[in-house]
Amino acid sequence: MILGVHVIRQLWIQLRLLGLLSLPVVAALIAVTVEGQSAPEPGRLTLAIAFAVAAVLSAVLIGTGFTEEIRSGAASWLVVRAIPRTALIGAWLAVPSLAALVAFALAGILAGLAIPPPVAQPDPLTIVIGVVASAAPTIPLAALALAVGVRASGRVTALATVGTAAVVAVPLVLVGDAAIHPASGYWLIAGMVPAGRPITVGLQSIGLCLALASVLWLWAARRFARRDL
Amino acid sequence: MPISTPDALWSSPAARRLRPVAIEISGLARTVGGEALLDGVDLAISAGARVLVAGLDPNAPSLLLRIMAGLARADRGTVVLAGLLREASIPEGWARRIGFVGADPGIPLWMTPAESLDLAARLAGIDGPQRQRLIDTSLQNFQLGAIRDRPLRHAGRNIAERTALAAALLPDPEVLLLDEPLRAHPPPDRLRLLRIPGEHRTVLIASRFPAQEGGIVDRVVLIRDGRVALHAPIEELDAQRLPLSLRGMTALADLGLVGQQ
Repeated sequence: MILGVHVIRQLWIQLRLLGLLSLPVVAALIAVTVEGQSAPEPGRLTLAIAFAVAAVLSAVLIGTGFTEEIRSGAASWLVVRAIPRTALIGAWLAVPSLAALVAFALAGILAGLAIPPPVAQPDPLTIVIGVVASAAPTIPLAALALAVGVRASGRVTALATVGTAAVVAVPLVLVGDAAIHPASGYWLIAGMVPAGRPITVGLQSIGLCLALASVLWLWAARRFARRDL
Repeated sequence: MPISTPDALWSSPAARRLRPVAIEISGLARTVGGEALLDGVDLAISAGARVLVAGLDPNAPSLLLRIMAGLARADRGTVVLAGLLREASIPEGWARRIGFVGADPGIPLWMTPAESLDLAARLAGIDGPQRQRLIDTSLQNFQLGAIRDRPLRHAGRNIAERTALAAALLPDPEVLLLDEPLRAHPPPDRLRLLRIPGEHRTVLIASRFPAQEGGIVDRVVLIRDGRVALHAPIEELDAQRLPLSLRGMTALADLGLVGQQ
């Protein structure tokens, strides 16, 4: 709890919290604007891509925030006070990811209301799962950015951007089967998943994101445990 | 718990007479960039000692203290501080029994001195009315009362350093590790602040400038070639008419006083 408040305050002072909260909204606004000019094609793919970019940038913000925590000595100040390193890196993953998820959810709902559905009006549950599923990739991306940030202080922004962008780009390139991969939420948003299965696909995507985030977080924590502060 | 708390410990006449070991390091080694900065350090320091740790390689003492504090890893060896063995996990009671202040204060500069001390107290598990009382006393002792609510970034580096020392002392640790502390302070202020209270508290100071630590330490440790080349009472330097400097400590080490406790 104390650590969570500390992370929120750090993010707020660094203005990164503002970035995390505003990125999805800006992405949605851009998508809606572009969509308005090019309707009815290309559907809601624009919004999916805009959200993917926002997710990458959010992850980079989280990664650089954590790197700054290490560089400034704040991380070591906490570690000598018996804060386990795993808890510290866990707080830096969970707290900003949660803030990003809330922002994505709000932006997704606003964009969903602004952009007409491609075929038929989906039910509210589908919208909620679609929005959460599209926001969920931020968590593994953030975990990846943390892992990069642990090791590569100084060049974390560039490395985290490339790394997280690669994670997003792989499923975007492999469009063939959008059923099960962490970025399936984007397809839900874009209305590209098969009709009748959006909830299943969304839940699968969320689960996969959380599993991937766990693996990446463990990797990041392992690297952080061996790092000199 | 491996040993009792300081008060309970020192209430025993036998403990007062025997002066138990507060710091025990054995076989500590760490290679950085292909260079063995620490290569089998063995060191035992009695409770209540004030120890200067210097090294021919100026990075070695700092690295030793950072390993002891859990900020850097050792390639091998063990460290026991105040009876607590720190390995991968952090022993219970660590935050209240071990304090560390680095050359960089480390406290987020947007915090005020009062906020920093409050966070330090919370993390040490100090709750209730005792917390505020300790914070107020600490602010007063370190002359931070007038700027208690001013962000550290506007208060200056010396205030940040002083706050870091106050935060480290707040939980009344048994062992205090100081890595090049208070360098932004003028020497007289620095010496005054580094006369750490607590007869039974063990204090280690890593310093690149041993001559500046005169008057605040009673023992000296010299690390040479990654090992403890000298561990002696400071009176030995005086007895041999040697200055408190790297050169003086090296000369004393060459006289064969290695490992004196």
